[in-house]
Amino acid sequence: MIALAVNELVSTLGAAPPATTPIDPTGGAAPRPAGGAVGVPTPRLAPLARMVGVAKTYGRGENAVAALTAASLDVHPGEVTLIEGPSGSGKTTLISILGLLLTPTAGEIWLEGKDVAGLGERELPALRARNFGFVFQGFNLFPALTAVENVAIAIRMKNPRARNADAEARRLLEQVGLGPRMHHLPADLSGGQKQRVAIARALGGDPPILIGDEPTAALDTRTALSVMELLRELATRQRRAVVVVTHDPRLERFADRVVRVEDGRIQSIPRGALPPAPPAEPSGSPPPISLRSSTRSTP
Amino acid sequence: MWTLARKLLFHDRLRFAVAIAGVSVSVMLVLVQVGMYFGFMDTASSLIDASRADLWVSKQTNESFEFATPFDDRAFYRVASVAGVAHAERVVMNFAQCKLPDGGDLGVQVVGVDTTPGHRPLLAPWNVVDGDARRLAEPGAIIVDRTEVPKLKFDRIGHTTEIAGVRAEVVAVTSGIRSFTTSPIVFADLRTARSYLPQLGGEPVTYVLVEVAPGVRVADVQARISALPHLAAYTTAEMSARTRSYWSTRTGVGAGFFTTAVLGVVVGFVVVGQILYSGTLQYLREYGTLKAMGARNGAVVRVILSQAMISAALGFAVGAPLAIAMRAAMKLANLSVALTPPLYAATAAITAAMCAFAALLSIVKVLRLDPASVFKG
Repeated sequence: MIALAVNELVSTLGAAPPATTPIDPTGGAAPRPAGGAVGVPTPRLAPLARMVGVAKTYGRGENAVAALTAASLDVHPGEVTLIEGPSGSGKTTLISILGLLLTPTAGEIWLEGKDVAGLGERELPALRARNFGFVFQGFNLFPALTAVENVAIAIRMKNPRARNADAEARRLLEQVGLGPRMHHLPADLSGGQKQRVAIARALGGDPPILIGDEPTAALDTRTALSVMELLRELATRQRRAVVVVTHDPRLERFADRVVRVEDGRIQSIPRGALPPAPPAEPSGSPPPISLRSSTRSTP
Repeated sequence: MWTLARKLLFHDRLRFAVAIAGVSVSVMLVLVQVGMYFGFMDTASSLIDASRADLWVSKQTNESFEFATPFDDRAFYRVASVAGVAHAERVVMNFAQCKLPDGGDLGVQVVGVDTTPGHRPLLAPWNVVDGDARRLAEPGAIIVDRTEVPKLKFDRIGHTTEIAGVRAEVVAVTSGIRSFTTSPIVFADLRTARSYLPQLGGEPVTYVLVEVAPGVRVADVQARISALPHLAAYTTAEMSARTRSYWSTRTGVGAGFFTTAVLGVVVGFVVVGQILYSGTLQYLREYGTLKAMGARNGAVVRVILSQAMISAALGFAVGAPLAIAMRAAMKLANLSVALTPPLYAATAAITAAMCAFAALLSIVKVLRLDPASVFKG
């Protein structure tokens, strides 16, 4: 059954990159059991996205600044990858390129079985819509729209032909524990609730990869941890790949991998250096996400 | 998209109210100014447009309808004898001084028309609301418009006065026949009118109105008459257009009205553009987020265009009734504002275009918005 589900998942999300491409900088070692105490050890699936030897240089000639150098990274379903590093180290450039928001100067980005590094803005929106959801530090919710409207409009924007955007938005908000407040405006929600709305919005269109840009930076510790737990759950139970940029080392316990970026270069953190995984449902946590039938559900 | 556009607009109600006020003022200015222009032009050509004539014949050198120089009565017979002319009538027209009850004088525009019985006249007073228009054939009988009563200072049908020292009796009153020159139009029989216009001398004719015989092409008759020395024949539509064009271009009245109308559009453009742009800047990160998640430029542009169209529609919905109210107020001042369905339609289209163009800056901003920018700060 597991093998069948894995094969179905791989064929749904696209063929894996060629076997000849370099392995990710963590050495390709098996990650920690996804979700720590929440999940059970599962076989590592083919990467959903793969960056190979990616470089990004801003400016030209004497003014050229190398923001990223020979960066390689695999993004696997069911894994939470933390990206850490000092300000200006290239973290944002890394996730911007991974999320197809920035074109690399060199290197390959494998997605849906093909190198998409050279694609133009004509093709990229559809690829982004199918594959990525983004969560930001500042939430970026339309203040005039209720929570459910914010999620629904993103679904419609991703897919103008989406017929059940409202129902989908309600379901996603229920999933992140915001069912009772789905008709509230962002101004009437707490920071953690806003971020949950933003996560629900990112899940619109069912993208396999979630990218967070310091999604907990504007939140207090308890709320930040609950948001991170939610992302962990989404990775574990729905087999999504979660990539989070953070400055907060306390979040490492939710991660399967930590990637450190310094001076535009990727350095892996030894697996043994990661802190212990969190308990499954710590006290004071928000309502657990409800499982659903999805290609990314645990096989 | 409409829902998002509407909610974004309504979220900041004060700003939205300013936008609607800007569009409304613009719509009102366009409607009232262009309506006044057409009202003036309708007034300028009202005598021509009310005639049943196929052709208007005048001196070749005439440019102005009101200030046309007359020709000799023999020219009338030359025109009447042209092949294809079924019926011809004389019109004499010029200015004279009318004596007021208080002893003062007022310049009036005398229009002498043919009242010969047995044929329905090609030009006659219309919209008669009081008195007996058939008495116009009587010597010294005149018909004036009721809007001119305050100027002429008479209080009843049968009021007598003098025009150029000759007796004149008001036998009927019309409604809505006004002169572009602001001098009251005084209808009289041809002979009476000539007696009021001694300065023209002899038996002057200012225009000959022609009814073309059935089955004969008007253009053929027009060409034949225009071939006569010193005469020019125009169809009624051509004559009307010439008159409108004369007043519009020679007096600058057209430029004046349209400049104000254009200024109205500019005001609306600037207000709506500024409001939409500031709104776009306010939600730039949210738009960037949608683009990052895969929303195409077209989808985001549609939101902004929808906001522009909502502003246009509501601005028109407020501005048009304001223009109607202005028309009612101006009517009290004897000013005509011609608000016609085509003018409403054209103004609606102009408003939509104005708001769409006003959204261009916002659209360019969103098109150039780098979705990666949402990760920066």
